[in-house]
Amino acid sequence: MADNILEVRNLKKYFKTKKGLLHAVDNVSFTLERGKTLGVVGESGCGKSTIGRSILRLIEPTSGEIIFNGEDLMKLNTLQMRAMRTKMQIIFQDPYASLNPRRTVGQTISEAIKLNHLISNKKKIEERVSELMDMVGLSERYANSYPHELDGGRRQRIGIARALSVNPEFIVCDEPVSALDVSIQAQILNLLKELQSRLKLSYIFITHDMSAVNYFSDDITVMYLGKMVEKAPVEDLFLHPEHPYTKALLSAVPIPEYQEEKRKRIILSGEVISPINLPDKCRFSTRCPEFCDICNESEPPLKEIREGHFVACHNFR
Amino acid sequence: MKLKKVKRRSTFSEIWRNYRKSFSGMLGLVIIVGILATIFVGNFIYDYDTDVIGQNVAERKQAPSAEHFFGTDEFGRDILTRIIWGGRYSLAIGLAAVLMSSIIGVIFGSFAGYYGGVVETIIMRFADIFQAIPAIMLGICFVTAFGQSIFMLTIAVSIGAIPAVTRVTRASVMTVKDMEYVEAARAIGANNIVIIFRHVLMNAISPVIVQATLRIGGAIVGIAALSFIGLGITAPTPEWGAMLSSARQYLRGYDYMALYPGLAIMVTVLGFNLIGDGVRDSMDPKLKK
Amino acid sequence: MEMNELVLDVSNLIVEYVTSEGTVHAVNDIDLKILPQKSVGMVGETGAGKTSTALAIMNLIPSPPGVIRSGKIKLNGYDVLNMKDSELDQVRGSEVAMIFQDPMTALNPVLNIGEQIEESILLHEKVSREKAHEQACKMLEMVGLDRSRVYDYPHQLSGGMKQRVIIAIALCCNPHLLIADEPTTALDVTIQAQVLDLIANLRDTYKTAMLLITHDLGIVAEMCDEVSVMYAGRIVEHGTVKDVFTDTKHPYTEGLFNSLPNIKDRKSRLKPIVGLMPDPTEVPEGCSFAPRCSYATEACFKRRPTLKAFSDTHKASCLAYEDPAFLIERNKHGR
Repeated sequence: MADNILEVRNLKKYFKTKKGLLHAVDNVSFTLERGKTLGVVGESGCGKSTIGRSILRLIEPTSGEIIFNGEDLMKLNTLQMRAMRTKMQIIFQDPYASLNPRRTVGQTISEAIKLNHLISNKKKIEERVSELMDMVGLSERYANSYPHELDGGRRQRIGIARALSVNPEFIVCDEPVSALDVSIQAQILNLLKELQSRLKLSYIFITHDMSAVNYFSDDITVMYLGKMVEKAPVEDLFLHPEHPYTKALLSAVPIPEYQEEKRKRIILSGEVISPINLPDKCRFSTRCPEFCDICNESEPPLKEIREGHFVACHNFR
Repeated sequence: MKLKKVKRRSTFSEIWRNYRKSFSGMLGLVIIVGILATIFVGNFIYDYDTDVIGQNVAERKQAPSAEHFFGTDEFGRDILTRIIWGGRYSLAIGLAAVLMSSIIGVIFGSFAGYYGGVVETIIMRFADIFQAIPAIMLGICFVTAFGQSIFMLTIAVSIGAIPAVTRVTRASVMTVKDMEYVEAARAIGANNIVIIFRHVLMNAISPVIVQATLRIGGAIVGIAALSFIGLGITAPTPEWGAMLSSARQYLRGYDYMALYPGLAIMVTVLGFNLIGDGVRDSMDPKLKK
Repeated sequence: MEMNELVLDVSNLIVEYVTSEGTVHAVNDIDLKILPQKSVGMVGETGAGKTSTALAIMNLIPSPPGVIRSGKIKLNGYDVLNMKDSELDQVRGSEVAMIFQDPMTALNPVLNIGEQIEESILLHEKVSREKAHEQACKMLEMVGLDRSRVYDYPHQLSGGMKQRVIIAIALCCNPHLLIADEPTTALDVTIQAQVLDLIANLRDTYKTAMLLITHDLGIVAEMCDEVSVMYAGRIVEHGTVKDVFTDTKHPYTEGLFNSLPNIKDRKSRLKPIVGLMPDPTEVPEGCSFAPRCSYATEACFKRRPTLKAFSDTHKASCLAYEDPAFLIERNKHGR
């Protein structure tokens, strides 16, 4: 019986816009085992960022259940939810926008500790901040620096230290390295991996970078326009992708290797349909290379086609 | 080797560093510091009863001379002395009024910008109503209703500016509240009050400060205006606007009686406007590097 | 034009930006040669000097604070750095065209896309408005958009479509050289595949040479014939894609490969390059990469390496190769 730290059931988030109802996250369900990483991939508009924030109730979900350590977060009131926040944290994508420009590094990292009254002694707080900075590879001498004095990689480390300061069990990593240079990306990914094993953290890793998610996840779910189209353990997904979108996505990633023959790639044609007022048919049908008539008639349900591997495609009816 | 901690350069020293680069800012600072020093010294040199309001019929309406640099008024009082003494009212009330309107305006504007919805609508519609009435009218109504004590005058001068401050604050807060670090604060468990004051306001305050320094000049003119029509500081206490008012009937032939109080207002307002320019330049992030 | 005459011949290019906080040495003496119909990739991270190089080629470096200290740039025979702006206007758009990074801001929001393509045509070719309009419609079709969209405004198009329009503008006058500065960085991965596919097809159809600037080694592998690796304003390695990918010479290039999670090869651990890019206002005595290089010796900090040829096509600048037996890790175990 797996120890699931998080179980999401039928999560929905709809936004009311002038043109109609925007289905940002549409009936998503998954489980996350303690200590593991779930990768959530997709392109812009697929809802992956919204899922991350909805799970933490930074955005209020429209409906669904979020069972964290056995407790449904949706049933908690504001005060109870605030108390929960020490257990679940988030690392943001933009190292420039996610830090208050008027607070020093030390102040930012210690804020969560002070707000949640985790440590009362001032000296002990300073020690803890030093400890955290050390853990994330930030030199102590930056404690009095302001964010604009540091580069993107260091700022991201501050964000990580802040998230760790409350001793969370679970962290949503929302595109944590997309805004960084290639060589810095590798440093941060390694750091996150190391922290996971050291502190027994569970992650949801949201990204559009297929190679990063390959490196950094145990299970992966592929999102398209708010729906989960495929979910599988990472190696199974990369070696045997089943959904046409997943296949196209994997094929589209340029490979940094010399090839004698230019490999054959799946190039999608057609346009992405609007996420507002979605019709009742497969959302990928307008671009799908394996499209057939039934795809226009109804949305395919998510089915488990082999152990741990789920696909939502009429090909598997 | 333990590297020394990077010395903490507070935001103030950064701002001061930038401020010094602004010519207008430094010029304005010199002017205002000069004026303040003069008023301060004047407080000890002059005696209120004899020098400031003491009438001397023999020396009435004398043109500027070595003895009376700015001449004397219709009661024989030295105009220079009265200008220096009267400056305290303009400056004190002007600055206090701006401070008051800023605090009130910022509080309303932050709530309007942060909460939106009904709260915003109510606050902003009130702001609209007040803004539709000319500031001087508001001041007059207030003074007529509540009297002319210094405290009431300060409020009267500040009322007209509150809607504008509310508006600027709201706009600034609206841009800042969607920044990711505000979301981050929520994620670590901060409640709304902490978020508004520590995260949003700290970053939204720059345009408000700039606008405030530029409003000081207007506040000084405001108190002068109220005194000009007799609803401000009462005679015989000198106040620049009141002095202008009583000089009206002597413009033909004794223009110096109006000239010097007018110049005092002008130079003071200019000084504060230059400081305002300097503050704006020093806080403009684009000018950094 | 003779077949072996270079489309682009850059020699000894030095570009600096003079600011109040110091002089930024953006490009430090580089040479670049592109043959007709060849595609050269320019790879490096932020601050390596790639965009400055591209702007210098079109003589578009913003002039204060940018200064082209030295260099000769010959574009199809045109001596770009010694031409007046009015003469250069003839060259820009018709001999050489540029695709910028951000499709969201590269199009004028108040003109429809047809007008923006026509503008380029009318500037360089003596044709009537009607003919220009017809050509614009044809270009839209060439880039995969329906010609009925010719009156659409940029805000009505998605990011990928906007980039297609930009490609249409770039190629409508059949330039000999196309400079693409991170053309797909802002796009989703499946749209990126579509756009790169389009660029490759058009490049082959129009027989255009290309300078493709990117930080993505995968794109270089799939789109280019040759690649130049830039670090701190210098070219540290240059060769054919086969040379650089299978017989990597420079430690920085090796570091880039090691930092990449490879989708085909799930590594147990990434090996990032330690440290950070050097401060561009300081030019060290020795090799700029030495502080981060695992093979560095004392000599590397004192003497600057020059580009050494390993074959007709392959050069790299690294002092370690003065020892003929030296091999970097990547090459030791064979590929």
